Amino acid sequence: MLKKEKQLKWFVIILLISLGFGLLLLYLSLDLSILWFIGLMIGFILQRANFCFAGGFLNFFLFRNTKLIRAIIILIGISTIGFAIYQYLTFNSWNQVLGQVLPWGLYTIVGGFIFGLGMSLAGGCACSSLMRVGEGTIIFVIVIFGFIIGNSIAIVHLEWWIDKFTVATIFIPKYLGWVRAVLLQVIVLSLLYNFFSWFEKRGN
Amino acid sequence: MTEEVLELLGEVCPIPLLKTESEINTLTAGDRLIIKVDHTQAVRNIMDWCEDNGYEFNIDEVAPGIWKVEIIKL
Repeated sequence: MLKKEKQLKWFVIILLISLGFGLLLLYLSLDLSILWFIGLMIGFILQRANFCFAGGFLNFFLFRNTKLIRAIIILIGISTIGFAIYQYLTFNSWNQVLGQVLPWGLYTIVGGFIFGLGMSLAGGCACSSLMRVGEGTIIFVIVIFGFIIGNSIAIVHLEWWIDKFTVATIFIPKYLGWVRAVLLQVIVLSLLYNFFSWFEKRGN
Repeated sequence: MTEEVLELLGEVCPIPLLKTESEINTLTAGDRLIIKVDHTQAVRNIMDWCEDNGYEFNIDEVAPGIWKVEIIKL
């Protein structure tokens, strides 16, 4: 069994390799290097915070614990504001907004349901599965492979679904304006947050 | 006062907490439940759950990535 001192030793070795690789990437491109370091930091924070999307939903539905799901709502709130600022500052036209503005239809809901089932059964969504691989849990290597296979299969016939069943592509800021769209989303999120707080208090 | 041991190595969320919950229900007050688990999220979940239910608990990392959680039922 691995000893704790050995764990620290390996941590330092891998940290140095990661830093070295990041510096090496600088020779190739600044962007790649920045992405590498942001990725490392996100991974570290996710691991230390024990953040898990699947866990948030599982804890709510199975154990009536809303701590994680409220953390997820706060995360979406912060990224809503961050993304809106970024999209606003880099805005050219409504047809080329930065980020993924995708159409929705019945397939979004069905797909979401299937994804949720898979996520609950596997014990992790994309980010937490990657994090668990980093922690050294072999089972999640299988989950990641499942992810890759599933995504590859989905990509093949995604066009067909979008063609046949798309309801509309809606980018809310286009209709309400930036400020009102962000306000609307933040208000909806805070209502949800309050609902979960109320739910937690009622349970106790 | 009995002591139950629950081996949950290799189990991922939400199985550890589900099994802990059903095991605790079979115990009587004052009994001790010892859980061995190697999923970080599960340790966090069990801690939160114990706090919510007011159970006393003790956590020891017996090896890197393997935790022994001791719960005393009220």
